[in-house]
Amino acid sequence: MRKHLTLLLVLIVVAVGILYALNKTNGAPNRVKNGFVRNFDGTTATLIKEADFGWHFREVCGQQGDSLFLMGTDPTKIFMTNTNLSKLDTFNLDIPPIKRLAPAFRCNVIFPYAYIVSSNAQRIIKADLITGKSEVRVLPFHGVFHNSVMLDSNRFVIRYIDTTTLNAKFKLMDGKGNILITEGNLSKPMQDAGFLYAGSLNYDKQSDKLVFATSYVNELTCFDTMMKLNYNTQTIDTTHTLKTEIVHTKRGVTFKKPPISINGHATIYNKTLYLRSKLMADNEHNNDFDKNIVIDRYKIEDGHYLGSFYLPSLKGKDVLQYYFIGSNRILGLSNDKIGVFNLTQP
Amino acid sequence: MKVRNLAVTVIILLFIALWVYAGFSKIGDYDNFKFQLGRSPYVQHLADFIAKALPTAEIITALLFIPKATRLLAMYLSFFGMLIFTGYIYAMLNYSYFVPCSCGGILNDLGWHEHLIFNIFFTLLALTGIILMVYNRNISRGTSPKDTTTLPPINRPQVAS
Repeated sequence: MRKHLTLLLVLIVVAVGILYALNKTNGAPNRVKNGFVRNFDGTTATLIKEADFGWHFREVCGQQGDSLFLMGTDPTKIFMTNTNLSKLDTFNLDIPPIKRLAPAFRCNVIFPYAYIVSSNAQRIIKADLITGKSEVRVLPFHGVFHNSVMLDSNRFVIRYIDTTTLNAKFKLMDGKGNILITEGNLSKPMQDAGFLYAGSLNYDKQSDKLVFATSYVNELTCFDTMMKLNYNTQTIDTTHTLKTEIVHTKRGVTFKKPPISINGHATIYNKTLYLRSKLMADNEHNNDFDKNIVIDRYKIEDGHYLGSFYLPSLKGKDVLQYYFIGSNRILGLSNDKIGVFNLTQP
Repeated sequence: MKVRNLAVTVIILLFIALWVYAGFSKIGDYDNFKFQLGRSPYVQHLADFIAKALPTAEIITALLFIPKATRLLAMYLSFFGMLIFTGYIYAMLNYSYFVPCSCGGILNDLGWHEHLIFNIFFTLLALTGIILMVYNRNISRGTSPKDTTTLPPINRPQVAS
């Protein structure tokens, strides 16, 4: 019996050893210096309130005064909490079952209406939060789009993928799905179905500008609501790891190798872009980088880098999305955890 | 004893079915399997080798269950294999910087979390199989302390007639 126990232990140790070796050689970013530094200007974010409502929240889709509207992966449910996270209410929407609507959709709330846009389902849905009733509109065009951002109740900007050329282009769309404007020279013609230059699109109401931060390349593109380019610039994070590659297969376009993310979630507040970077600067410590997420700030006006700060994790889990809910107040979401942070700037 | 033997037989049949299906489905979809390995952060640099070695190992393990003499070896290999697969999925879910699609025959319809549960179950099943087979083997050799059928006969004192 002892012989068999020993053999089992040996197998467990060997298995763990193999997995450890695979982990150490997996080409993950941040194992070598990335060749850039960050300016931590003294801005600090402190967690002041945390809650676990038992629901998985994917994004904040609107705010009205003290009320915050949250969305999960079910398009028929919108949640409402307040900036104190002291309660959670649910609005149930009467949306008919639509194939491929969930989970790929975006939602915006301008109370009392919710606007749900889905590329896979080719629908725009306007739902009344009070009555639950919804109007479903089929988009008049075919094709895939990503990054839909709502400018107002009647205008959306989308990143459309041309099925013939596989090039991505930004388009301005109205509430009925009619394309109003197509960009001229914002996007590079990569024939990549939008993969290589995938990213996060955000709208700044104050300056009426949109900023697109690419995920796998360290670039920022700023343009106006007429789809005219303001500027292209680079974010501070660089990397020496392998570049992202795509491949065309029978099933479509996909990543050839595991892509290295450079930039993550972004949000805009007070004419400043708050962009999460997934690359560690040469002047950062592993411990700080692992226990927090690092956010780089850029001026919307010209893309100039302003500085960086850390946003602490929620019960050991990285904050995946964050939004400003007031002056110096950030709401962070991490799956089923939600927290409010106080931002102190020097 | 009968229940133990039946349990061992069921476990063996399950593993034969698992390894045969897993091995042949990889061979049948070799190009896609190799491509998916190339998209995994942990094994991308070993994609070529694993694409050939893994289905081969799975089929050989299934064959080793057939002769009685190699069944325990096959069960140990199954435990080792499932342990690595389980650890790999756990690492993908918790430490990987990129999670590709979890493709693999019937398991194609499982998400990563369901795949992890499936693998944990089969790891524990292999461990159970090892324990039962070793126990059965000890009983048949008479080395188990609970087995009364193989004790030497009691020497009864001769009574003078």
